[in-house]
Amino acid sequence: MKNNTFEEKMAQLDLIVKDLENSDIKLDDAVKKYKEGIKLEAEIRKMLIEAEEVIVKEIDDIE
Amino acid sequence: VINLNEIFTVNQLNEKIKKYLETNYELKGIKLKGEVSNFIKHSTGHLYFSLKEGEKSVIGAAMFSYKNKYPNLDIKNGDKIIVKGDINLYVPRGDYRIIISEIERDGLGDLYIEYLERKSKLRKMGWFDKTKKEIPKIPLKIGVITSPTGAVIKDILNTVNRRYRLSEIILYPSAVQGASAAPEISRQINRANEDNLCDVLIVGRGGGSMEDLWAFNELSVISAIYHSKIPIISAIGHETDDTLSDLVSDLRAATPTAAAELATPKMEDLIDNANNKIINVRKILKNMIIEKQVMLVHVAQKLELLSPLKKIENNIAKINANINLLRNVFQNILNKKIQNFRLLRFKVKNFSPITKIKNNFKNLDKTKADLEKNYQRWLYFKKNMIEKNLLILNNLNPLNVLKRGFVVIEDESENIISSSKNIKLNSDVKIRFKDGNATAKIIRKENI
Repeated sequence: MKNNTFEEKMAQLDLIVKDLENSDIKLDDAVKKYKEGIKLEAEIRKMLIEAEEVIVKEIDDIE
Repeated sequence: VINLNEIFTVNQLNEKIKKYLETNYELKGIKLKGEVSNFIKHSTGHLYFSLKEGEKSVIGAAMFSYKNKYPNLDIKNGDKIIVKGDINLYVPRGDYRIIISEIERDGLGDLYIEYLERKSKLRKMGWFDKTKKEIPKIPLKIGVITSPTGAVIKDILNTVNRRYRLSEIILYPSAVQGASAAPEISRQINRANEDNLCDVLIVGRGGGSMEDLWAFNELSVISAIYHSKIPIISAIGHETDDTLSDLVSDLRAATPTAAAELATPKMEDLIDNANNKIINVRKILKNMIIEKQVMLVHVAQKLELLSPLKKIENNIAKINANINLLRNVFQNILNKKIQNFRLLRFKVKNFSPITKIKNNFKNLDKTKADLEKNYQRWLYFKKNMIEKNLLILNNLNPLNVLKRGFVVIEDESENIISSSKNIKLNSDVKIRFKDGNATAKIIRKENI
């Protein structure tokens, strides 16, 4: 169930968003999915920030 | 017509005679022969002399230079000549003379013929072409062959004493005229050569006629001069008198004084000479010093070039050159690397995932927004539905039905009886009103 790569996480998030578009979803599920989505978003953002930091640092080192 | 009573002045007479002489055709263009005496050649080229016939007669003669067709005709006193000319009278002196237009020799004297013959013979023998010996510039001893009583020795002594006292004069006395002259002169020349004391010999005699000077045309004298090992200066007669001795001597002087001058150095010349020598020596010494100095400089330079210090310096220079070369090569390589690196960095900067990351951020933001939006929408939707249901629920509230007069019948266990099938006969049922309950007994039932 644990998806580690950025792309997999992003796909999972997309799926959650899509699921939430469906009105038939049960309350428990909706809350659960929303929570999971918020968590995933934070993870993905952290990954992006880290990646950005690495690149900026590399360029600074070069200069 | 002659007027015997007329008195002339001297001038009138001379003029008259002049006219008479100069218009007389018998005296025009006459030919006259005689012997030359008192010969003078004027600086203008005019010739003045007397023509004489022995002791009997004499007449003045002149030849003007413009009339002289023979400028090389060597006329001397004693020459016998034939002239052609006009008689002319010189009024101031009353002299008449012949003005010559043509001149020619009247045969030759016997002695002169002999002279010419010997001259031609000696020329053929090559005696005149002999290399002349050099006259020493500073003679220690000068031999003089001449008469011990004549003017020659006196002139020579005076001149030498005046010019250069250091030269000693040795006189070889000899007759210079007459039959004994030639043998004596030749013997003394030979003796001087045997003595070999002198650096130069002077053979001298004063002027005179050809006969007077004849000893110097004698073969014995000429031969002695020709064969002399000591250089000989001849000073015989006057400048115009050519003797054969003059032609074979090493140097010919016009006069004895001139001979002494030619044999001795002039004091000024000696001083000049000495000064020149000093200057020369100085110059040579200076040049030598300069040459040595130049050589020294060369050697010093060579030494410097060969010194170990120089070698070390050269090596250092070489090493420095190599280091520089190395540095340059290294710098070039480094520059190339830096250039490559900059290019790469540029590429990295431009193609780095940062763009991708930024896009992902955007994407993520949108997804997050979608997430929120969807969740909120879902929540809204659900709330809506609940409210709707609540409304329906309210509508369906059975209590509300009761209000309209309906009742609910429940069994003994309070279960709602909505069908007649579920009702039992004779059972008690509870009738629920809007405002209370009642119990009833079922007495009949009918099915529809």
